[in-house]
Order: sequence, then structure tokens, then C-alpha cells
Amino acid sequence: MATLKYAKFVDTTKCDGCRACMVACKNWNDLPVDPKAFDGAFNGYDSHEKLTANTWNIIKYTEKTNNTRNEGLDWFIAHNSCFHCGVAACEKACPEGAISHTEFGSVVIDEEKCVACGYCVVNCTFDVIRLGERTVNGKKKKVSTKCTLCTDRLDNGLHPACVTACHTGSLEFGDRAEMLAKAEARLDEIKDRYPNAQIYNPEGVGETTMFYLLADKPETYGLPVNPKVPTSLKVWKDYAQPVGKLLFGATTMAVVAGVVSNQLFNPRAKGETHEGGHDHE
Amino acid sequence: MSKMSNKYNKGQRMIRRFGAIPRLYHWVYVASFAVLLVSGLPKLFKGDEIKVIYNIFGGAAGAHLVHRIAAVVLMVAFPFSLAFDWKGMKKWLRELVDWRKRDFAFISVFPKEFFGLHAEFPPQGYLNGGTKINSILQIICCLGFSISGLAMWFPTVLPHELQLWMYPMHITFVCLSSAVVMGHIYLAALHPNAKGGLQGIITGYVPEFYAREHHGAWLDELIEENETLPADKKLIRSWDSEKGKVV
Repeated sequence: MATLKYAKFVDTTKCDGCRACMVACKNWNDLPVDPKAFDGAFNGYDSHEKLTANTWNIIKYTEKTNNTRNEGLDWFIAHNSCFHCGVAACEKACPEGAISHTEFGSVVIDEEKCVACGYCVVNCTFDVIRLGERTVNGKKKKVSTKCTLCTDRLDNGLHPACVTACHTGSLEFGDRAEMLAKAEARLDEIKDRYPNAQIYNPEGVGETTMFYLLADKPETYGLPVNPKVPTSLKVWKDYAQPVGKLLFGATTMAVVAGVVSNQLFNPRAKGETHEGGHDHE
Repeated sequence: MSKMSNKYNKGQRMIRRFGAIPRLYHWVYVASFAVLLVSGLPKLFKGDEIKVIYNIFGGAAGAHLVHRIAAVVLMVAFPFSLAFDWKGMKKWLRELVDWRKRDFAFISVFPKEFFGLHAEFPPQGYLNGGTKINSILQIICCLGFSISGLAMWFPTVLPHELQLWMYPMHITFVCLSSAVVMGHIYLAALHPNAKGGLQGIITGYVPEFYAREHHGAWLDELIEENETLPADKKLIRSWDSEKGKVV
């Protein structure tokens, strides 16, 4: 489990849904446009239903009756991208060692090592990772892709592009303790207006570098209530794989022991035939 | 082959053990299994040394492609064998569910046999207790890694919660089947008591002493059956040492 020292704090109560974070992300990361015609398949406000290989963050709009205030409809808007989990299922699932944590708590994919097996895509707790085509070392190849938390910018003392572009202060990046304290303070401020408000920093995935202050229950935002590293993944990597290797190793050892034992105790190993005599040749 | 065979076959009657389709199926399974194991091995270890295997296939993408081609070969080989030799395959499958006292007796002395100590067991049928376990385990594993492998190939078909379990399932059955294969290669080809038997799965015939020793009860039945067969369909033939083949 990575020790998280930094955080990207997403205060959903301050988001006005301008999508500047989406544009800044595309701009900085050189991600091509992801054309999407209106198809009425989802609520009609989101630009994309889900994250894609070329769209690493999206704004999700949820229109809902706010019964507590009895003031009609309310918008619940949230910037959505990789959570950079403390215990990242994608990292655990990757057989190539291509996914790792940086000192900033960001979870990054090494495109050179990635072989596009897609295990991370299936096992990601938040359905964030996608396979996409990239040019790596001058060659086109399929790789897993997702938000990098602009680790290249962090390395150079800058904030993630989305944070820099945010004009309402909904997105902030900084010292983790400071960000969590800010979130707590803000939660106190909005409790009256949003009684279901809560900080979403799930422990089931070892907390997350990107965490939310939600104005309503996680379900409202389409977020899992108790996200965790899949049990199947633990069974796979911590039990099935090591036990399987052990089983294969033990059989091999038994065979080696059998060969030696036969040499010692089985007269046929010394060249005697079925007739009790010696081989003809 | 013939020189090797002469060593065991000289003066022996040759007993028909495997038909052409079961033999072909066996070797197609062996070849595709080996390719699957090698092309999938880099996924089991994170070290750079093991990733070198990808180079054999011209990179990871090549390894994935070869893995899938071999998987299709392995999977279609079984229905093909059933279609082309229903009788022979049925005989094999029937044996697997037919458990008798003699099978358990064989299994009880199996560890002695494995390590080359003197083991006494009653005459065995077409398959003995050990070969039955080998086949049964391999069939279960084959179903297990084929179903999970297909799910991994098409990861959006199954419900997500179920899909997640396909990965541990695949590795479990792959490791179990590899262990079974390892044991099978040793017992069928390398073990001193297996001498003379390996040719059965290659040529279809084994020398009588081998059949007597490993499958005595089956041999008695076969000798009886052979009496009733026309000359060109005889299951018991002779070994021509000069030509080095069954005649």
C-alpha cells in the first residue's frame, strides 16, 4: 500500500460543470477529440457516458429532487477521473509490473512494459482504465490508458492541468493533511444545505489520492458505496498464483525424486528387462 | 524408432492399444498445450528474464495471438475427435467413469510404483487407476482453463462479478494441469517401468509384455476379442525385427 502524501481534492459543491478540466486534460496530454453524437442514451447533459482511452476525465451531471430543501431540482455535478487508489487493483492485476505508484500517490502506466492484456481494465475498482492505441518508441501499439494525475507536471512543480484550469476552486491539489482538513471544514459549512454530504475517500482501496466532498450519497454520483479491491484479485494473486507455482514445483521435485529413487531401487532402471535379464542392446 | 522399438519388441506379439484419432488428438493436445504454456508463461512471473519469452513470438502481441490460435486448436480438437472417432473416444470416456476394485488397488500402491519400489497390483483394465485420474484431471482442467480463457478473451460477455473470478480460475487450472502433465510425462515416458509403452501413443501398438504388466485384464479381453476378428482386422500382430515394424 502506497503512503499517500498528496491529494487532489474535488469539492463537488463548487463545480459549475464548465468542463474546463476536460479541455485542459486533452490539451496537456495531447489527447485527440473523442467525437460523440447525442444519442439520448444517458441523461443528455454529459459529453460522454464513460471515460475513454482519449478522454481521461469527464463531468457527470445528475439532476435530482432535493427533498430536504423542498426547493425542486438540484444539480449534482462531479469531475470524474482516476482515483489513484492507495491499494490499486490495476497495479495488483498487472502481470507485467507496468503499473506503479509515484511519490505523489499517482498510479501510472509504463507504456513500454504494458502488453494490453486488459487485466487492469477488468479489475479496476472504478471502471476507469481503457485500452487505446499509442505510439511507443515510434511504433503503434495498444496500451492501457488513464489519467496520470499529470505526474509529468507534478515532477516539474506544477499542479495537474485540470486543477490549474478549474476556475471555481472545485479542484485543488496539495498536501494531503491540508486537503483533508479543508474538506472537513467545507463539509461543516454545507451540512445544513446538503444533509447527505460526505467525504468520499474509500478505505476499501487504501484511500484515494483523488478524493471527493460529495453533496449527496455516493449512489447519486454513480459511485460504488463500499469500493474495494476485488476479493477475486486477492485470491488470484495471493493464493491461486503462488499455490499453483508451488504445486508445479512440488510435482517437478517429486519427479526428480522419483528418477533418483528408481535409479536406486528399480532394477529396470539399471537396464534389466521385463524378462529379468539384461537389455539386448 | 525402429532400433529403439526392437529392444522391447523383439519376439513380442504387438497389441493394438490406440486408434489413429485418439493418437492424433493426444499429440494435437500436447502441441497446443505446450504452445499455450510457453506463450502464457510470461504472465506468471514479473521478472525481465521471463519476459524474454515474448521475443520468441515477436513481442507480447504476437504471444497473445499465438496463445489464442493454440487455444482454438486445443478446444476444437476434442469435438473433432468425437466426430471422427466416436467409438474410440467413447471407449476412453466410458473407462473414466468405470471404477472398480482393481483401480483403487492400483492407486493404493501407486506411490511405491512412482518411486520405483516393488509394487504388486491386480491386473488392470484398458486404463489403470492412475491413468484414469490423469485423464479425469486433465479433462476437468481443460474445461476449466478453456471456459475461463474464453471469458478472458471476451471480457465483456459475462457479468462483471463473475468475470473477475475467471482470472484466478484460469491460473488454478493451468497450474494443476501442468502438474498433471509433468507427472504424466514422467510416468508414461521416463519411468523405467514405462519402457516399451511410449510407442503405443505413437504407433498404436505396444509389446505384449507391456500390455500384460500394465493392463492385464484388458489384454485378456482383447485376446478373446481378437479370436473373433477377421484376419485383416486383428488387434494382435507380430513384430518384424528386420523391417522394424508391426506386420
